[in-house]
Amino acid sequence: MSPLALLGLPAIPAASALLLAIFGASLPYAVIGGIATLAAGLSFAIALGLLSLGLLGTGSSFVMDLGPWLSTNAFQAGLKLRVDSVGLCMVLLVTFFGFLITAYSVGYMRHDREQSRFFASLNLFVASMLTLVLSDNLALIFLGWEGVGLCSYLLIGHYWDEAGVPLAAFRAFFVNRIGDLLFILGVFTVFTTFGTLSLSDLSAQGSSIIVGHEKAAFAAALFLLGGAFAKSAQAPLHVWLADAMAGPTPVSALIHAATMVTAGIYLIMRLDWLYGVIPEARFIIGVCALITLVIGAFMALTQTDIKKILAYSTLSNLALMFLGLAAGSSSAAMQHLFGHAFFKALLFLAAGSVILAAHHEQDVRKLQGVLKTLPITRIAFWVGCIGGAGLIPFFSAGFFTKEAVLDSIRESHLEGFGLHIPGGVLYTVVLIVESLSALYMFRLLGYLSSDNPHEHHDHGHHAPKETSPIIRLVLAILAVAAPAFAFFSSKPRLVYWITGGRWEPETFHWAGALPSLVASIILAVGCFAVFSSSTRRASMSGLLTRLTLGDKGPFARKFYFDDLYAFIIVSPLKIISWIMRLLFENIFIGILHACGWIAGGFSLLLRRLQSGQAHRYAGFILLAVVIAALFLLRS
Amino acid sequence: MPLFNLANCLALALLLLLIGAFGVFRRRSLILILLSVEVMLNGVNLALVAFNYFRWGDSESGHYLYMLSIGVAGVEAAVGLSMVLVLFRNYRDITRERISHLGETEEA
Repeated sequence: MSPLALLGLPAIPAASALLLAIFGASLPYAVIGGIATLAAGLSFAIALGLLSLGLLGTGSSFVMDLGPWLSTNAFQAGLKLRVDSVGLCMVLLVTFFGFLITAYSVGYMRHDREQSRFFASLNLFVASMLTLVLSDNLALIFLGWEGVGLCSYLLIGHYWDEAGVPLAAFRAFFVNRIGDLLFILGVFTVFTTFGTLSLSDLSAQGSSIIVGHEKAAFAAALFLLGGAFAKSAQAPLHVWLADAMAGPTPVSALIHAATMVTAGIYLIMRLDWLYGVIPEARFIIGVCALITLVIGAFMALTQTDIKKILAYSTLSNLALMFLGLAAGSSSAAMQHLFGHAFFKALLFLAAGSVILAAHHEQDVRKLQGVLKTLPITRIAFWVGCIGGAGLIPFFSAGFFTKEAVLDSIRESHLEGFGLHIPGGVLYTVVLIVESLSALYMFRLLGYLSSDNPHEHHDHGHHAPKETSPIIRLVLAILAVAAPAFAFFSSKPRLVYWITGGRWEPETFHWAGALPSLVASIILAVGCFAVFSSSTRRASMSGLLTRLTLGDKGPFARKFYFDDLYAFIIVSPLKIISWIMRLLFENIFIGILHACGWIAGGFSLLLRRLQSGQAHRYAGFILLAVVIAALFLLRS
Repeated sequence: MPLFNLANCLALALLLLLIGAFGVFRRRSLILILLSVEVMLNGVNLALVAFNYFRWGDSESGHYLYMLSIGVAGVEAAVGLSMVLVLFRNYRDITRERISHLGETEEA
């Protein structure tokens, strides 16, 4: 296979994005959707073609070097794409979901607005994400990193004239800019410390290269971690993800669940050689991820917006992946990345189908019983929820992958800054918080399959119907693919693929997983029983309100993170801008006026020369000629 | 020592230039100013011819340049005189102090 195929992976969707951005407005909808889907599909086909290289499970890699990209005396970054075993897995993931979700969007966006811009952004996202995954040096990764952030912003702001949407988009962009700034500082630090940005060169030298550069390596690790935290929505930079749900639902599935938010995990995985030898960095990852895990799980329990429940669940799952990284097992984190992508994309797409069928209603209290008339969506939702809660081994996409992370946590410990958190403690906490996923998943499912769909009948609505055949088709494919992945994830082969055959796969401990499995099933069944019946739910809701401390409680205030940022960032900015305004209005304006007066005074003097008397002008000319002549004679 | 040498010719040219300049600055009538400009021009032309004769006698380019200059001077005089005519039609006056509308200190 020609190395050019590697270039085609991001280039085809990028070309399609360009095409749609320029000519999209004048094309009919079927053509726009067709081009976008075709481009994403071609990328997926190339990714499948790359399978023939036999990279999976081996340590070899396939490189396409396009020569230098940025080149100065002090700094070189090559335009070099490289795919190895885990990279190929990631490419398959991105293109598979990119293709399916673009196809799904054709059904979802049919009666929507600004479709060409939407599909152009979606294709550009796939191209940027593939650039990020394939590039071999941090500078090119940064290009993809910025690209996915931009597309995320554009797509969150799709309904830009609706209340709250521009703010949500701006928020995502702003938080990600902070992350990008930290990221590029990290890139600079890596370059000045190690002299190269090529990931293959750096990881080939292994952890030994940081000897003698411990401080700089720690700084680089922290900076890059800041970037990863912003992109993957970890505390304290997690605040944008729930707001990002303002975008269309396929976007939430592709960008804010399956692919873009995992970029941070992918990056840290690529930087194994760095984080493997800095326990303090892993300590920070662990603590922040633990906070995010708790926030995500508890927030998901109390939300009433169907997409926000899923968003907070994503937060929690991303935190679990970071905990795997903190435990030093990037293979476990990557496994859960894949498992999570399958069930969460399925859940989001099923939610999109529900939202579309219910005419863009997202409040679960108004969506009661909506699944009754949506057979395919119902199956997809059940498969997704069972997958997310990890209830049935070999069927739940998240079961084995989650257990892999939990295993790695149990066998490790976090230490740094004089603190020590034993793995057992961490494991217990994570296990308890993770079992909440059964609760929030089945609370959502309970609402949607409630026996009391009064809302829709009261207003004389038709019962919601399945909307588009392509939506049903994609849901069916994913509802089969997720359990298939679940079965596959029980095999050691997945670990081989992710690690490139480097590490010995661990054997699975059924005895350890069984108690949590039983607990999850009991929680799920109980929760479903409560929430699928309106009477039982009513009796529970008073208790729930008391438990969550009502409207002023930590749940309603998103654990005070927004208030914290309002206090430490927004208020000081406001005070500074007030002072600046005072300074401006008094001092700077005064200086400007003074400049004006001085210029005016000079002009008063100078306009005397402008007498209008021709002989005076002639006199000046003669004077100038005499001076010039004297000057010439002198020299 | 013959009187007809470069230094004397140049002195004559300078004299013509200064006489012309004096006229330009002292005369108030625009026609006399124009005349003075022509005198200055002739001073310069004399210098041209003198340099050509005494220094590059085998060439005649200075003479050609002089002819050209005379032509230009004629054109200039024609344009200048027609301007003076127009000015006189508008102002009934051709003294230089009257025609100072471009000036900043407009005497009303």
